[in-house]
Amino acid sequence: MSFDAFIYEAGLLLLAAASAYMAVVIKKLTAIVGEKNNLWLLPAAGSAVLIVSLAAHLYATIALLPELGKHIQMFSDENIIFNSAKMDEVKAAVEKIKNSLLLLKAFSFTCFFVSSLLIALASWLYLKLISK
Amino acid sequence: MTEELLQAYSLVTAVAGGLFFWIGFIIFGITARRYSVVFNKATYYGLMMSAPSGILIYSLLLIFRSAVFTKNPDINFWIQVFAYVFLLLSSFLCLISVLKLNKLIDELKKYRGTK
Repeated sequence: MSFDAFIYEAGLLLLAAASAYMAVVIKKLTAIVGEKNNLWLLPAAGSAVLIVSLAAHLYATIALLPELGKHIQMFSDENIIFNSAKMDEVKAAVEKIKNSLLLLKAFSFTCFFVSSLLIALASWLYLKLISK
Repeated sequence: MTEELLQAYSLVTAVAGGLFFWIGFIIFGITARRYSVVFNKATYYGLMMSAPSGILIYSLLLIFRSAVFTKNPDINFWIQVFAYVFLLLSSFLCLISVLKLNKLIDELKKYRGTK
């Protein structure tokens, strides 16, 4: 795993932990002000969605990127260079992995965005609640 | 969907996500500030409001990378590394600030319980 990917994944994990603790804090604060609602579920869900985002990123860096590297190395193999059928096979495989990586990246950032929306919404709703 | 569209979509969601995280923690910091007035205790709202700045810098660096240095892979790489480092530091500080607030609430609850 490359070190930049490791830094990003560690950041996501800490952010998921911060979101989870935000859920705990909102639950306790809601009880303190004597309100009964499930506002804490929003940051809890946000934390869970961030973990899904992290899992998608981990799968891409641990499984797909090495697989892509392996296939790209095949282009320097003489048995493949001089065999057009095998060459086409490798090209198709590389294309397939590239597409999967792009889709996973989009999925991972979608989860990151959804999680951020849930966190922002929970904070705003709680502030509104105590501003009444 | 074409490759360019997917890349653009990923960038927009990453930047928007960073912005919303920043807004979320800032608003939570405002809440903590109100409790610091009510409880007359330090709720570390300053830390909570400044900690997410790194997430905002992460978003800005992602925009900067895609807007300015698209043709130099080395510079692109280092901008990305810096963006991730800011995200990591910011997440760590957000976690610390939320944990401190959580500890304070536990102490207040204990105090209320003994009264």
